[in-house]
Amino acid sequence: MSESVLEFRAVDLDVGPQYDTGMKGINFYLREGECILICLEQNVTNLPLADAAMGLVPADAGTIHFRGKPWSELSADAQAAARGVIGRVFYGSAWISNLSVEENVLVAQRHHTRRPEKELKEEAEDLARSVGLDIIPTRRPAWVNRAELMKSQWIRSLLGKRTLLIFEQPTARADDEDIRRFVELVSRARERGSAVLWLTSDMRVWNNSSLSIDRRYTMLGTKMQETGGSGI
Amino acid sequence: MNFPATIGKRVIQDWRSMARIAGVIVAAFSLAVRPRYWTPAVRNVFSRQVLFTGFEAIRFISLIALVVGVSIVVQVQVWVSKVGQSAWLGPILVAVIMRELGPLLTNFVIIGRSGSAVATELANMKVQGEIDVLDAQGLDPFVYLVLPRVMGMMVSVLCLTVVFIVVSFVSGFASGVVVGSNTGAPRMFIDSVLNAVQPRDIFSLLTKTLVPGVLTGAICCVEGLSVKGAVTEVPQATTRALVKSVGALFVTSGLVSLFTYL
Repeated sequence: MSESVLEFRAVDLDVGPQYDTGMKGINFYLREGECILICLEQNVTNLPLADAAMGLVPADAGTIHFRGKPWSELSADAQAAARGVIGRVFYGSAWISNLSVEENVLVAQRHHTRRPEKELKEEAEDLARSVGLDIIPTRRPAWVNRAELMKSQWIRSLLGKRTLLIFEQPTARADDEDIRRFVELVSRARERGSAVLWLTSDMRVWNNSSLSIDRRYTMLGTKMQETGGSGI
Repeated sequence: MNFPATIGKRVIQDWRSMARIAGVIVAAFSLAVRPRYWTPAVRNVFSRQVLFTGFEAIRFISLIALVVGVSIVVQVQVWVSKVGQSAWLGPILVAVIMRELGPLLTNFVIIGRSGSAVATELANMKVQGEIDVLDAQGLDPFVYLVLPRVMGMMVSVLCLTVVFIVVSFVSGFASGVVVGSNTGAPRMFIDSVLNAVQPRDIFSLLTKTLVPGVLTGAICCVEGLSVKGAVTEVPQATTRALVKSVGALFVTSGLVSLFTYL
């Protein structure tokens, strides 16, 4: 059995000013290539779970392990490096406004890897074509429409070799064809070993038969309850 | 609160603020000497900072230098020739332009033009949650935002001051030719200035450009990132950054001048 990529052990998370709710007693693990789907309650969609999984908010109780080590035991440099192998689609603010969308997409890879610029751009362009974009927008985020921004977030999260993918409501503005394309790319990333933590309130994702899910959870208040079936 | 307590509180606040800025500068230099922090993304921010603070300000700095050259260099030429002390042309120009006016005016322009922009930009990034977005991608905000800005400001102030000095001397000599106040051929003017440059003038030039440049960068970054999350804090942070930067500039210039003339 491989080591967990991400593991929450009896974690309580405080409701900060930016979240809709806190979370209590979270227990789950995620191994290489696995996918966990968490169904969010209506109107309670902004959870501290993704930030906690990236070590950005500390746990009130319990420990959060990434690649076998608690975030709290990693140095600032080690934490930054670890976040460099996590791809994320953000629920809220996702862009640096004084960079173009293309630069936003590439900046983390430029910082964390030594990959040649040409190779990086080629991979980003391939991903762009796969999600139905001709090119990644070269304008600043304020001048790009929401659908293109959503797809650019997908590209950014999937670019490079990712150990963990965290998706917060990634399909909120997607049509069925877009979801099919995205699920296909996520499946490919999982084949390469990426673990996936997917938070959604989109029933099209919850009921998507082409998305092979290892475990499903449903949020009920501050609790995360494991759900066996494909519906809720 | 009584008067002594108010004074004491203010002194403690100022002391903490200075300690924080000193800490940022030490941290920036300790990272700057390690090549692994100069990733392509950080180098890109540094280049943009130099482009915006240094390159794009050349025209404005040159304009001010032109006015200074026309008004001050010509005046010096006129008066030293009137009193028959042409040998003092170089030393006076070096003392006035290179030691004092060049660094001071250049720093003023940088504080007003780029310091305010840096403080506002970082404050807005903080308010809009962009700092968290960087952090979530493993881009340490200090490494990605502060380090290249502080270093970019430092390099830009030095380069722009050199531009300022050269333009003011050239424009001063050229306008001297126009008004007929020149004390000799261009070669003589250049020799007179170059021969007047002492090691302490170089020291003065470097310290009056590099130190305020670093201080401006650090102060503007610290103040910009100090906002908590309200849009109304942004102009306040910018004002604080400018006031502190100007204060730091005067204190540094005063101390270096004092040290140079001792």
